[in-house]
Amino acid sequence: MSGKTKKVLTASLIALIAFTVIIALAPKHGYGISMNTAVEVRDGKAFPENATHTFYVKASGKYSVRADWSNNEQPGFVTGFTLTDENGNTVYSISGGLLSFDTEPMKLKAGKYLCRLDYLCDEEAYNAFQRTNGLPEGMEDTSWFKDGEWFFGCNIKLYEADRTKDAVMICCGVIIALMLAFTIITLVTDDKSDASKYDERQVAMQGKAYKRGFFSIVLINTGLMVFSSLLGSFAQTGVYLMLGIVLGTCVTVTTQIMNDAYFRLDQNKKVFYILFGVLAVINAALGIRNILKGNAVVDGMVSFAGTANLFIGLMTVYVFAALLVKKIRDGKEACDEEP
Amino acid sequence: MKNLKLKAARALLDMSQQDLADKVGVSRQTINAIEKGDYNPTINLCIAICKALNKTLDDLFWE
Repeated sequence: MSGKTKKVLTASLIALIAFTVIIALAPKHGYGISMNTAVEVRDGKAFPENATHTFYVKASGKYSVRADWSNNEQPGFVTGFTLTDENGNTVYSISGGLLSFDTEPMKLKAGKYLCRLDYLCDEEAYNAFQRTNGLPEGMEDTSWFKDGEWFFGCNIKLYEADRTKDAVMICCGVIIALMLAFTIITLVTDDKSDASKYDERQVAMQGKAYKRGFFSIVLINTGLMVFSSLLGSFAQTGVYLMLGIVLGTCVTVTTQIMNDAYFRLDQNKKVFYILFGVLAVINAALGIRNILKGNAVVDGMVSFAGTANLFIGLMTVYVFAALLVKKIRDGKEACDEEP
Repeated sequence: MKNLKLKAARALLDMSQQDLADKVGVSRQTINAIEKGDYNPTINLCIAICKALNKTLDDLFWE
């Protein structure tokens, strides 16, 4: 690739990164409240009967509504949630024991919205709520309803959710990653040298390495599937896929490194050592941050979003270590040189 | 099986493995693997090695 092409490629990459950063930094509107509520049910009546809160949406757009109940104990009533606009029209409604939901994005105009929680203490009240809000009536299990006192917290959030923007961001991210990888490879490759290639033995060894990696991925994913079906799932699906890919890649890369089939002839290895070192540090730091924030395990399952960076970081640390081990081994090994 | 003929021919010309590898256009580890008998080169690589060492195929690669 000519120098001019490399400059164009680098400039395009910088422009795309700038574009993505601008989109990412565009302000997102969100509104949230935390309610700590004590509800007493006495003789089939709730005290208080309901709780309300008002949101003022400043800008029209697509919003999702999310609610999380912090108390794991099932109360003796069913909670009905409704979101109505300033004209009294119901925008969203749902009911449940321990209410926890995250809606699809819906269009909301700027204005006042009322968020109401009704505490429904018997089947009649429940059916009336369902009927009013166009939801299915009838309860299979009415043993929930009982007298008592419950104290719980509820977080309700209204947040801007633009799927188009998210899709554009993801596409930009993927393109940036590919362009970055391509740019680094072309920048470290010496175009003038005929040795910027793999020799026949290296190509043959790479074939073996990819084969071993492929079968490793198959074995690992099969093992994880069997394990989770016998003992129960411990992680989200993305985690299983990530584990297979990461471990398979480690097998492939190890075979290539240990058989001198990883680097091209006369390739600048120092750049790779620095690159892998930097990638390892960044991803490991992000992974550790997610663990400390408590994002790694969500609802008793290992989450993909919380552990992806950690897996990538560990993989790059492993590759970096394999490169170092090979370097030390090459240094110690008696080169079969004749004087 | 080790290729001692190749090693001897290279030593005769006072060439290191790296020198031969550079001349032929492969990595030093490939020359090492051929001499150790860990890798069987293709006919094209055999011809290139023979030309670099001024030998024939029979001299270097035939039992």
